[in-house]
Amino acid sequence: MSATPLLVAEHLMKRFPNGVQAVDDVSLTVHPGETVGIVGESGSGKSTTAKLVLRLLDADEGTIRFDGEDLRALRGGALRSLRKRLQLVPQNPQTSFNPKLTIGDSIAFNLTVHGTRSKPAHARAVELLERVGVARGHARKHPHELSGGQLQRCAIARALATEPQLVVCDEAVSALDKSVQAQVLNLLAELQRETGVAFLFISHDLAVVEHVADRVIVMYLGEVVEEGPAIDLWRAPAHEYTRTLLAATPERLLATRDAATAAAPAR
Amino acid sequence: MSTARTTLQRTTVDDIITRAGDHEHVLTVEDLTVAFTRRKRRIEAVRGVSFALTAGRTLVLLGESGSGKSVTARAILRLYGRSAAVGGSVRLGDTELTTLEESWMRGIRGGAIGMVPQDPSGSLDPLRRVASQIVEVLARHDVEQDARRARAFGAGLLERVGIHDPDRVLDAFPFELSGGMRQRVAIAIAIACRPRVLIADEPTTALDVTVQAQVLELFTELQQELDMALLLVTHDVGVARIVGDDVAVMYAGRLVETGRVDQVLAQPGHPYTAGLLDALPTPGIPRGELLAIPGRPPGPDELMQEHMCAFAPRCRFAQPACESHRPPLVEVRPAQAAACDLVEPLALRPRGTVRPAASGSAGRTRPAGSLSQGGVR
Ligand SMILES: Nc1ncnc2c1ncn2[C@@H]1O[C@H](COP(=O)(O)OP(=O)(O)OP(=O)(O)O)[C@@H](O)[C@H]1O
Ligand SMILES: Nc1ncnc2c1ncn2[C@@H]1O[C@H](COP(=O)(O)OP(=O)(O)O)[C@@H](O)[C@H]1O
Ligand code: SF4
Ligand SMILES: [Mg+2]
Ligand SMILES: [Mg+2]
Repeated sequence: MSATPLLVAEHLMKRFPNGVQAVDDVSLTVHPGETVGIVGESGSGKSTTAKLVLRLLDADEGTIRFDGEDLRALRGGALRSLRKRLQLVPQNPQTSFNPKLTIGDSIAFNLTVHGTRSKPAHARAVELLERVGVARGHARKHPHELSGGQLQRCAIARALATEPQLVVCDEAVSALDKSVQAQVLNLLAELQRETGVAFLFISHDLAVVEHVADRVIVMYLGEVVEEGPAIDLWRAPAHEYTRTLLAATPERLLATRDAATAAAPAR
Repeated sequence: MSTARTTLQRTTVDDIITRAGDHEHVLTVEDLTVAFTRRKRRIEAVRGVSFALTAGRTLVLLGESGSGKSVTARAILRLYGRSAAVGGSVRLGDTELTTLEESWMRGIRGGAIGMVPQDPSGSLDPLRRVASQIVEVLARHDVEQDARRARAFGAGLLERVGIHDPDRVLDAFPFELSGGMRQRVAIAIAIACRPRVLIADEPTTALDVTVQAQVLELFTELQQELDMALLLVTHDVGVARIVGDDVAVMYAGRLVETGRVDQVLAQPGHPYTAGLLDALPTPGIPRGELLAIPGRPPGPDELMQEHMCAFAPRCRFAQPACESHRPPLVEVRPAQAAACDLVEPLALRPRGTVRPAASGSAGRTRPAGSLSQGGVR
């Protein structure tokens, strides 16, 4: 792991006008090429944390350094150029793509908005689609004409168009069927090997996070309650909430049941 | 006159329900087909599905989205009315439900057969407090006509499903409750009349993992307590493993594998079942090396070829013969049936053992239709 971190967020705070303290003193670090997972139950502040990091929301307090720059101080052109290096793959591609634009236009737009001219942007869009396993003909289709899995590949292509250093995946595979989810997870891993992109990977599915993440952050009621390499966390969860979370996953429940069955004499 | 008729009907419905208890299979579904018409085309969402439910046991209907699970569940309760053409037979005990008079069917729905939908907001009326919804169900099925006693009964039900402050919840509107709480209320309503059969359509999909575990536990408890037959619809193998006794795996409107959950998941007899298991992220599988099933499940409008195996375009064992005939569901080992006769069951070992050695090559996804190189036959 490289010594200089890509993203360092410290003591982030966010309270919404309705009084909800969605993020309460959250700190996290992501190194280049690393995948950091965030798990936690619904409402624990995962998406809000992601939005603070993406500057889609402004933090009340705390500092965010991205590639050495003070992210919260960036304005105008500097902020735009940062957006290029920091992209998002959202949960529901069906609503994140403009229904009126073709897939190709949507992906190209992510390039033209950062100064690429239209023609090369469209050519690059087609290239990217092929890279993520979507037939180039789909560039001319509209979002509703594609399946969830295909559209999620398109969302990945759109995020990668700007050659970002960090991509935030907020429940990016949660809505997919398991057989298709495996394809998309493999694709993400492959792209990471190829481009060295880092992922901040949010999911409520512990099995998925365990599979993709180098390190995992566990959030509970807006706070980070535990953090560490996925393996350590899973083997020896220190925090009560992590234990509850782990105990609740089907695979764990099953492992306990299997152990009990194995111990019992055969029926 | 109308009271007399209602009483008569009530007796008959009660009769049907009581008689259902005398049968080994409380509910029998035979060769069920459900077809919709979309843009003048006939879309067969369910094609020849058969299974039977037993009191005290849970059958899991497992399959990916669009495979026809919900349509099956809803067709049993005749929720499609005239908007779908339903064929085959659904029997509660020895009573045929597909031809039963609609007014009697209303007594069965929510009475002998309870239903918990995926999204509790679908079964709860957003504009009415929980109490009035419970009171109404109890009155409709003649469990308790007195509103005050019905409320007390409702409080007991809510406590039974793990709600600690039933009075507050009774006075709440659905939107004032969390997702897990709403699902508990929906379950309370579904079991209010002590149904013989409970149908739950993805009852935990919208819930958090921690809440999901609690709700699944609740289902298991209630089922034992009320000696219900439970039909649980899910796309999640993990859920199937926890609550299921038996499983029916559905693909493109048909059952492709049936058997006992432990047996089927340990030794799948159909490549689709094996593929579903292999696709799950499991500890120890290196990143990026999940065994995905290539392609995707057939979409709603895709014309399905009757003469071929619907899984063929994605099956790693597919052979030319699979394109020209559709294997029926046949026994592959005692109490386990699969709709694939081309794979020796032993080839489909449980996950982990099927994976080829890591080769460092990029995609692990095999091209559709290619034969397995894994020494299968
Ligand atoms: N715009 C907003 N206004 C007010 N409250 C909000 C807003 N966005 C989020 N919240 C609240 O902040 C808390 C954290 O929300 P957040 O979306 O970050 O949760 P999450 O961990 O992503 O949950 P999920 O797993 O359901 O996506 C919740 O209590 C939520 O209701
Ligand atoms: N009311 C309807 N009209 C037309 N088609 C429908 C209707 N309901 C479901 N379908 C189609 O039937 C198929 C099975 O759907 P469904 O049973 O909901 O799948 P799932 O297994 O995800 O529950 C899908 O292709 C779906 O689009
Ligand atoms: S081997 Fe042939 S029949 Fe069996 S599932 Fe695969 S395609 Fe279908
Ligand atoms: Mg979220
Ligand atoms: Mg469904």
